[in-house]
Amino acid sequence: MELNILLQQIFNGISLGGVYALEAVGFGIIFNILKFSNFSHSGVVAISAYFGFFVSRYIYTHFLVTLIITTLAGGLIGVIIEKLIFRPIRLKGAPLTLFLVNSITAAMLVQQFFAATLGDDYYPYPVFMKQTSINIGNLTISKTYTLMLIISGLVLLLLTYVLKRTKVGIALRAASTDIRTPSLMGVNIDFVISVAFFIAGVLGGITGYLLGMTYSVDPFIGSMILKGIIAAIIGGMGSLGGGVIAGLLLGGAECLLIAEIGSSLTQIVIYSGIFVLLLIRPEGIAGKRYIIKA
Amino acid sequence: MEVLKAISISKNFGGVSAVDQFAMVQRENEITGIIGPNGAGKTTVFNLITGVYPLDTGEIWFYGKNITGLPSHRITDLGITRTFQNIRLFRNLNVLDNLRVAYGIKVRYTVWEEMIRWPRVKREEGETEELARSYLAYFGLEKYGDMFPYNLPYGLQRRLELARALMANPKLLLLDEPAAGLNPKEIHQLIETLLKMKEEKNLSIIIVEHHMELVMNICKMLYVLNFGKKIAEGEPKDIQRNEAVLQAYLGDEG
Repeated sequence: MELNILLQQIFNGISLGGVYALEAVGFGIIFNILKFSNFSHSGVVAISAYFGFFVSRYIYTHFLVTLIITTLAGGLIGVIIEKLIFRPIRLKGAPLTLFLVNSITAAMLVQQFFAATLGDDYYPYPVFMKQTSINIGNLTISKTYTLMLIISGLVLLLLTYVLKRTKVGIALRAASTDIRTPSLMGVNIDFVISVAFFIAGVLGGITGYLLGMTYSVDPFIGSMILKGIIAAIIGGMGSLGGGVIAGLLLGGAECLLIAEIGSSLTQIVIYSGIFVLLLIRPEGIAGKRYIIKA
Repeated sequence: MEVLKAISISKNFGGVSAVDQFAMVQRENEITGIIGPNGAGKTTVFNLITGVYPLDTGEIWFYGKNITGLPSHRITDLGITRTFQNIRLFRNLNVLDNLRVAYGIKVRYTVWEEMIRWPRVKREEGETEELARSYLAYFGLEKYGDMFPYNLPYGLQRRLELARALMANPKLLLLDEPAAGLNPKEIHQLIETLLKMKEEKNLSIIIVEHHMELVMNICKMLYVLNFGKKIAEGEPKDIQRNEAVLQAYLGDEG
């Protein structure tokens, strides 16, 4: 591979990896606190992707403004999903398996809803930029990928700040090791769980927008978070930092392999590689031998 | 003054009666003990007071306010905090953050204000940190602020739990076996600390404890539970001679 193509692919890989990292963290933050795999995250991503499309297409065509609106909508969708399908069973003390079932059902419901209503067409986002790439020396860098990288980076930094320093962030971290005790320390655990779903929804909203903008929207766009879920697992369930690193590695590996062996073979290599990786290191990159439940 | 009043509270778990028609009164600035054999329902009483489980029957009043059915975090906010039989510190938070969690309810700013670093946020964050450090110093933990709780020796973990319980500025403190796992010297220190805390912070304290020396020394009133039922109440010297209590502890054969 030529050097400039190699560099270009690494850059694209890290940008794509940034989106995987957003997915991994959005998925992982719910796992951390409620200990179930939240597949309904793909529903949030899909709704946000369509939402972003309609807003930017028909209401106001401006990249940053529609991104922010979609992000907030994603957060709201996350909160609503929690209130509708997870809170009722949580208050009844349902087992984790039921949370998993509800999350998968929600994901399927969203997918089938869009397939039934908007499924016949692909919906491409409007073109926000006149030029689609920038040239640096003999490198051609896609503007979309650059934006993806910058936005993922900023969002992850902001989230780190919220989790490390703010009141609700500290409460969230406390609840992730022990969900019963914080309320006896005066923490409103229902609120903290809502915040977790809001954060996950925000991340899902950005993911949906970025994916929609990059690939155009179809009913199955939500299933693209599978890579993020894999990143969360490789990263070590329970470790958000591990998920970010795994997301970046996965994106990088994917883009390098695509350049080397083509895109269809790449997916086969990556999915098989994950089996091997988890056989060698079942706790993931940074995980502390968490027992992966549900 | 009556701090806490439990009126015939009961709790069943799957047909097994954990607490049966229990009643107690806690007076201001006193230390009260709840004793009884293992499985007598002592911890369940704490769980009922702090809203962990809903009551099957009865009512709980706190400073003349009916707190029956309130969620745990509201009860904490009103001024009841507690420690746990098997220490429940947050293992992924450092010592200072463990204390910060408990003070969250006292600061009223929102996450949005925190993100734009509103002046009020800075001031209250400073206050929180100062308060946390002062409690660490109070319990001789000032060196350990950045450490993770489960790297501390057991005795210090117990003290950290006490510090965390005080962070939310309680009026009533519930201590679940605070002497468990402590050596005689540490128990002696604990007795001194509890008496000092009670006076300095005008606290009322309820203790669930097996350690008889501690209970007999510092409690003004004792309640004795057996199989969820109250079998005796009174001052320590009377309880020590109570026939029913001796039988519960020693068994019927004696």
